[in-house]
Amino acid sequence: MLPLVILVYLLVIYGMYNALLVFGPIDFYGKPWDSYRIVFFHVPAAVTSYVAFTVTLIFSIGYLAKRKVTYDIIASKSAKLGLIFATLTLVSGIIFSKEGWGAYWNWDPRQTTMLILWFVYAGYLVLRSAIENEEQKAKVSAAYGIFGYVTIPLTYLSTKLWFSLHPTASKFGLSPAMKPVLVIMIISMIALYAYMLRIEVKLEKLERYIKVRVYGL
Amino acid sequence: MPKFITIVRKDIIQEFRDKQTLNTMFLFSFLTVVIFSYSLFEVSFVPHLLWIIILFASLLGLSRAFFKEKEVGTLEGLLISPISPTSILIAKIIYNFILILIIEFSLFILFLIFFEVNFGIYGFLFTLYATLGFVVVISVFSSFLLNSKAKSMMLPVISMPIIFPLLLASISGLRKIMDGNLDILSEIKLITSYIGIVSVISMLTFEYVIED
Repeated sequence: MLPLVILVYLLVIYGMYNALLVFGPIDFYGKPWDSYRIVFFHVPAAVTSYVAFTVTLIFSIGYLAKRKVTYDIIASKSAKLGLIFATLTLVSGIIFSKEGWGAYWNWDPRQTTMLILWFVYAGYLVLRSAIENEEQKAKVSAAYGIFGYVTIPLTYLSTKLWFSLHPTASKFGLSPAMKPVLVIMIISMIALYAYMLRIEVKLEKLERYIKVRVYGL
Repeated sequence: MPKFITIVRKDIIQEFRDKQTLNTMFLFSFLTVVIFSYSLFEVSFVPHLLWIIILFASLLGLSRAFFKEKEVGTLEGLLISPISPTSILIAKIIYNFILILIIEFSLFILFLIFFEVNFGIYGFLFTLYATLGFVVVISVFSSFLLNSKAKSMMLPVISMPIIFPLLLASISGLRKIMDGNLDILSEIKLITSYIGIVSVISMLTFEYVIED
């Protein structure tokens, strides 16, 4: 595991070094613009949160089909991490939006969808904390996880329908040299998520083990 | 006669004996209409208002269908009876739909009185159709919460993010109808796909959640 962590660290350093120091400002409506660099953080965080929620969906379905406690642990911990990455996406998005579009929040379809996604998985975690019976908790949250995931495309469509008059996100071009760096940042962010998930799952399993074996609960 | 009709009939007879849920929902929507008509004069907000009142009235009242069974302890009886869980869900959805239909009909009259807004027959049909989605989601989610703490507090928190796309489409459609523009095909499509998706997942997951 350790070599992987070191590799990810090196990748992040390489990516950040390129993003912050090597690349020059890009052309934004005819003037040089530096704030685009947040893309190298914003996009990987967004992609990672989607990956995390997809993992939650897969393991939720897996739990309902196979009833393995491990699946439930993975699903719930992945939702928690996904929520953290979604928060990072929202916060960096708000800063980015102020720089690029002139307002902190402007109900852009993608921004709105991310916010609703955040609400869904925050609701997921609150729902888990409200049910005491472990098995009920696992079943209900798995079902809710499936609901939340499949209605998200509709949320995106409905916001587009609603804000059809709204200007879409201003396009700016990343130069060909920047794209591999973005991919590297995405991969390392996903690896970070995978590492965190592994720790979380291990911790939760140990906690449950102690509860059962030591305290006999 | 399908088995779920029996449950629907039982629920309706029970409800009309004391009309507790119906009265509460009606009073709630009446009060909100009065408060809003007093504090807000902008007629262009009326479709938004109607849907928000429907949303909160359903969150308030429709959860009773399942919570009531749990409170009086008849849920176990319902589950061990020779009726499939899916039939129970369908019965509760139909019963809830009948309840909200009555509330919506009275809401349309209240809106006519207090805002002098007439949505017309298309508006009413559109509202009924979109309400189906609300009813499915809230019925299923209230069954999810049967074993949770603070049930009525949890319901809005978990259902609102899921209902969000439906709410946007409903408001946008009703607004167009109110402006006399019947070009609402994209809204209808969205609502139809929403109802379809939500119903399929409900049928698939309900059995797992409700069984013990």
